[in-house]
Amino acid sequence: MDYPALKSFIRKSAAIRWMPVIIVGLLLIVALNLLYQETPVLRPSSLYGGMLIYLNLFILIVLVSAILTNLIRLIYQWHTRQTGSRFTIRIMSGFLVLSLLPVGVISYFSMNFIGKSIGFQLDERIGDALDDSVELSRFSLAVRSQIYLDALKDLANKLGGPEWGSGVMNEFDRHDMINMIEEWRADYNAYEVLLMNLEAQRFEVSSIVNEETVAPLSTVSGLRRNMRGKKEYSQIEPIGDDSGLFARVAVKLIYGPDQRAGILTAMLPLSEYERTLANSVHSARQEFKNLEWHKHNLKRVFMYTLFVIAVMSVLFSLWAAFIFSRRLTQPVRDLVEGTLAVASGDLQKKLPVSERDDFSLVASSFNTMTKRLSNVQQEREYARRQLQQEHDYLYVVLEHLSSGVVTLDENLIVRRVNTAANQILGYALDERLGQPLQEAWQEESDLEPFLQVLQPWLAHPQQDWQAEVSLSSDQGRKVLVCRGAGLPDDAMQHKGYVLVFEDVTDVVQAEHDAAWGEVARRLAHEIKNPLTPIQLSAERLSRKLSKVLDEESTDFLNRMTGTIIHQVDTLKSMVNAFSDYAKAPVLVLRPTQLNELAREVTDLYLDNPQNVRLQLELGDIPSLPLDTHRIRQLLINLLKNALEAIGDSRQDGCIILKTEAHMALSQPEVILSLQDNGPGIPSDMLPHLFEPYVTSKHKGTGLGLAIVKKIVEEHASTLSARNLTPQGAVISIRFPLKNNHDMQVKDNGSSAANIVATSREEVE
Amino acid sequence: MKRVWLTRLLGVISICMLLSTSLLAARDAIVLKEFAVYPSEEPKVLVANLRFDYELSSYLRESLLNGVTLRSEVRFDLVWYSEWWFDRREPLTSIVTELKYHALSGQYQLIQKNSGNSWNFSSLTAALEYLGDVGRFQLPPLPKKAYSNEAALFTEAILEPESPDSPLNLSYLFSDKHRLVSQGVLWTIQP
Repeated sequence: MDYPALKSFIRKSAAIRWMPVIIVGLLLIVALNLLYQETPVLRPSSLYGGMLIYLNLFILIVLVSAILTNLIRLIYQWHTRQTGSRFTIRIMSGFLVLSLLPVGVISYFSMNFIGKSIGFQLDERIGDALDDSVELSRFSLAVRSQIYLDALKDLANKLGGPEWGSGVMNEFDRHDMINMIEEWRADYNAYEVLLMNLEAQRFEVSSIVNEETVAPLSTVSGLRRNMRGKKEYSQIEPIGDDSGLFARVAVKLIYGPDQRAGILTAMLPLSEYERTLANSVHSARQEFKNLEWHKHNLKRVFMYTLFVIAVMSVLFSLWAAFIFSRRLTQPVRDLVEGTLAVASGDLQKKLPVSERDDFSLVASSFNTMTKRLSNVQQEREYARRQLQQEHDYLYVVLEHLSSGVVTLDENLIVRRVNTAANQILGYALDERLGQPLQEAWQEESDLEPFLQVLQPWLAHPQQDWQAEVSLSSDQGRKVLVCRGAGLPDDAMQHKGYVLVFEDVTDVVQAEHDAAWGEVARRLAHEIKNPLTPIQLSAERLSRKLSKVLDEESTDFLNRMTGTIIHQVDTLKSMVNAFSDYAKAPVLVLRPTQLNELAREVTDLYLDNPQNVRLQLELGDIPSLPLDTHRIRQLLINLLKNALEAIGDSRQDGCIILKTEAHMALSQPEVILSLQDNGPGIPSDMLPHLFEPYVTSKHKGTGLGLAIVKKIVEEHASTLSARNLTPQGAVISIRFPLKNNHDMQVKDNGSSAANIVATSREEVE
Repeated sequence: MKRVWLTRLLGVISICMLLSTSLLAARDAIVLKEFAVYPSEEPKVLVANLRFDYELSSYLRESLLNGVTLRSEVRFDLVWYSEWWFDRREPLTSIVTELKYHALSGQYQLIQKNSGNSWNFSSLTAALEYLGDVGRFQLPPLPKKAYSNEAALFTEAILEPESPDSPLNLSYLFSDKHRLVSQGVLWTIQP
């Protein structure tokens, strides 16, 4: 059985728990009972005296050890502020007062009562009465002794009578004496009769019933001493330690024919009745005198005994109080331990429920509470898991949405941004989580139009809102469709908002391009058809009428028809341009050295009317899969557009055509950019720069940059335009490198940076 | 400074020891008058001749008249001397005699517990004289180790009043203070 199981078993079994108390209590009862039996009777020998002191010492040691152990434990518990320690101390204090006070009072009065009782029982008058009784007995026995003495005198007279004659004592005389003494001893039933020769210091005649009763020499010498100056002697004497009494009588005599001096002594029994009475009185007097003599000591013995009983009882009560108080406070400790366990998160904690305890209701309620809490916790955990699943589900959905989603809290602080939002905005908005939306977006100038559009909704975010936003950046122009809406309140009654935006640039552009293509196709079809008859009619009219009209009229006619024909040509050019724009792309992609193509096209415009300086900064770029014809047209359009943009505005016009490769990006690309130092693009035109018929010039079809854009898109590339500071503009085209072949670097270069530096040249 | 205090402390201890010794000596009222031990005719058996003078205090005399029995014990112990530890002592034999006053007869009674003999005396002086005279007391045969390890025979006489039996041996608290103890005699046993 392991230790916790044993502890639980001991805890559950009341009999085992109280076993030490029961054993010590029984021992204490036995000890006190023995003490009680020993105390009132002062017997000559004590049966339990020796054992009792060891038994009491054992119990005392057990009790003191148990109390000290409990006391130290209680002090430790109090010092460490353990639960229930103060309660136990209060109960112990109560027990101490309730046990010590009555025991002290009872002991005090008992001691006084015992003292008075002993004094009362050992009254002097009783002692005097007993002395008188003894004196009376002595007198009675003296009468008996006197009778024996008179009889012995008669015997002595016979032994010393004149009938013995004179002369030396012979054997016959001695034999006669022995016979007389034996006869006398038999008559009086004497133990012994001795005739001592004082001169010879020896027994003349000894008549003895039992050898053991013969008087020793010391007694004989004592007898002689007692009879010094006396003729007779009678005395009651005790025998040994068995309460025997006899009468010793003696007379001095002159005996025998030779008149010897001697002592005749006899030891005679007393009657049984006399001896019993005398011994009874004597023993009573002895005991009384003994008790009276030890009266004070006796009182102290009683008091000490009572003190020992009181101390043992108090110690036992104290020990029992410790155990009882611990038992009493156990439910409270269990409850506190359970509460602490619940507070620390252990909801499986159960309190023991005892049917015999008033705390059982509390314990069972506690167990019910923990069970319910545990159920709630399980439900909460289940809900949390569900929430987490929904969260993950939502995350996956949001991450795979093509629309950008930004959620805001009630203070318009960014709480969640999906990946699409970052990609659409071209800005790592997820790094700004926890910041207000305005603050997060203000740092990005490209998003300023978006923020301006958002302002009305940010002012009143409760209302649903929808708008279209156009953003311009290095990556080009983007058209976003935005929607804002409020979120349902969460559990904390907090509001939230969601901002959803979608990049519809391609859709809008496609629709736009389709519309313009249709327009161009119709224009080409509807306008081009009548142009030829107009031109032919004008030529025929000029030819026919020049023959019939005078010179002045003919000249006028020729000028007019010339104007018509010239304008028709112009219209044809324009229609052709529209036709080219609307034409479906048929690309012939071949690996092309873009640098060579750029250099070739640039050479065509070295001599330009505006005297603009053309500068090439060609980097080390790989060959690209391009349609050479279309890219040449793109370069021509760009150059013509730049030259026209600079126009006559300045004498030091300059156009820089630059190519560079960005291989380190996640999506490697080749950038072709054309930069001029002209007046720049009007800001209102910048968002629509690549749309057809958008131009700041008075001449031209307005399709140059639109065709550029069309060619770029045909090559799955992107373009962008932006103004430079302080003046000028730049148009950048990004050709993505899709495979290893595209990324193959030319053999004559080792570093893109070096190549850019070495190949930079100015073209006059 | 410490030395002065140490000297004073030793002085106080010496005075206390002297006082206690003198007090103990004053209580000692059994005087050994004669002591003789000699071998008997039997081999390795000793015979002792002792004589003690018992001088009872008035309390003990009064105790006798009030029925208290005086218990006398003459002890013969074997003692082995030890220089570095307590002396080892083994009881050899003892003579236990009770002295009591028989109020009915007015006699002082001596009862020897060893033999069961009893003697009556009309005076206390005679009883004490007889009590103190231990003549030709034959000691039991000595063990072999008594001759081989330089043992000594130690003799002393004790007289104490018997007190009524009381629980927890509390009577010893009151009887010990009237106990009389003689000087001890140490007699080296010759092999």
